[in-house]
Amino acid sequence: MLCLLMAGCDIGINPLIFDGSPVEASFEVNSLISTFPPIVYSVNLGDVLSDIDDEVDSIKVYNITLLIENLGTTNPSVTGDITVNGNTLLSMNNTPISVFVSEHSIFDASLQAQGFNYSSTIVPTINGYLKQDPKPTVNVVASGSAAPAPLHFKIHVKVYTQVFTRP
Amino acid sequence: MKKLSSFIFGACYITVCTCGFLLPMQAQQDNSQNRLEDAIRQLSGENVRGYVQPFMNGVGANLNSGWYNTADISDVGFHFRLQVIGMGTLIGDADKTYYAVPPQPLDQTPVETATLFGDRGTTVNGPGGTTYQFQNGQVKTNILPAATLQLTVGNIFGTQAIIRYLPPDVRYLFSYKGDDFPKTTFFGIGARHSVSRYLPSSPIDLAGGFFYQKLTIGDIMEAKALIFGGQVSKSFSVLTLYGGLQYETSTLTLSYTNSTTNAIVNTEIDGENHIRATAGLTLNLVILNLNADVSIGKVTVLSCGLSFGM
Repeated sequence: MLCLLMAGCDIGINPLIFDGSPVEASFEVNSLISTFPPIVYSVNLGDVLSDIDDEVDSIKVYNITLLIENLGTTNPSVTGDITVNGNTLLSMNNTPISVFVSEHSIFDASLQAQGFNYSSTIVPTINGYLKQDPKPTVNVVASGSAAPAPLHFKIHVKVYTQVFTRP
Repeated sequence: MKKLSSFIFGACYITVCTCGFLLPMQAQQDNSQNRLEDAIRQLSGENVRGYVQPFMNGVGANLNSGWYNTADISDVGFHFRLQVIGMGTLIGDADKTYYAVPPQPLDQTPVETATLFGDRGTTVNGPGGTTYQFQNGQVKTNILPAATLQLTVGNIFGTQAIIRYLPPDVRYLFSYKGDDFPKTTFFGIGARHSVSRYLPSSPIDLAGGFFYQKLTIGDIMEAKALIFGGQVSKSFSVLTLYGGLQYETSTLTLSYTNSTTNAIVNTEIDGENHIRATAGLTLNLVILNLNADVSIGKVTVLSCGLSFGM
């Protein structure tokens, strides 16, 4: 009877897939002139697993978003880039910060018209970091210039992942 | 000998159904988490409906099964019957996939992926090397089983009351660490009334009734079911042939916080089974009754019961 039961009803044979906790880097830019020095933000990639107790098989990035809070009274346009451990994540060429007034995927193709580009190698690069054990802390750096000054805005880069558990 | 083998088969079937109902509980507590809730929390409000719909159809159809095994209700006289009921909804291939929309920034074209009863979730490739995989199926089965206790008492003017109940701490019976399994409560109440008492010359027994049930599982799921139905039966010695038609509804309310967006999801999923026809057979052995039936509707449900009483 037990065999009959086991043959008829298998529970949990496929691993669960969780959403990893989003990890975020934030950069506050306050400058009286158009250029701002590189700002470094350290992100512990282990935070992706902060709500997960199951044994983890792999982690993969499925989205990266950008949000820019305008804390000033003007609408500056930014030229610069954001890197992860020296690898380019995205670059902006005279991109108005108003484009990112709400959280926006960096993979949106329409952003190219605004002088925005993402690096095609950044997702495999981050996935590579996420394969490491223990999960490393990476340095995310924002640098560039914007006009018109003065500059008062805050950049938020958020990485969304899926966590694949073991059966 | 035939009666004995029928009894043994019936008892075994009930045990299988009951154990099948408990097995998911065991699997969940082994992971120290609630697997079903974990799987659901990953889904957005739009996609959770398709993922859970076949499960809801099965739960709703199971709840609405096995509540009678005869239409014979005497006009007056003491009636008391305690019944263990096992029921199982057949799960077909159509219940194993649904169409879901991937999250941004992936293409918003719906893709076919696994339901709770399916296999692996579909993987979608997105821009920049991103990928997204929908939740995997978690239950591989051809039948969704359930079991319950039912008490029938009467009769007053051809009317019986029916009660179903499982105590909240019943989970402790099925778990090494009861706290790991979500608190489950179950209650149902209904009544049946003899129609034959108004038709004394009727060669068959006729009855009608209603039944309401409420089931909560953990913090995020609540199911309600309601039945209105008519029954007919005819006895031949120790055997009673019975059947019925019923209109039924079932609704699953899901309330949870999506694990990606932190959005609060409140959604109601209606069971798709509304009309069913039932046919079954009861074996009457003095104070012991054994019955089995099949119900055909949007889904097919098998039910059996073992009861004691008079």
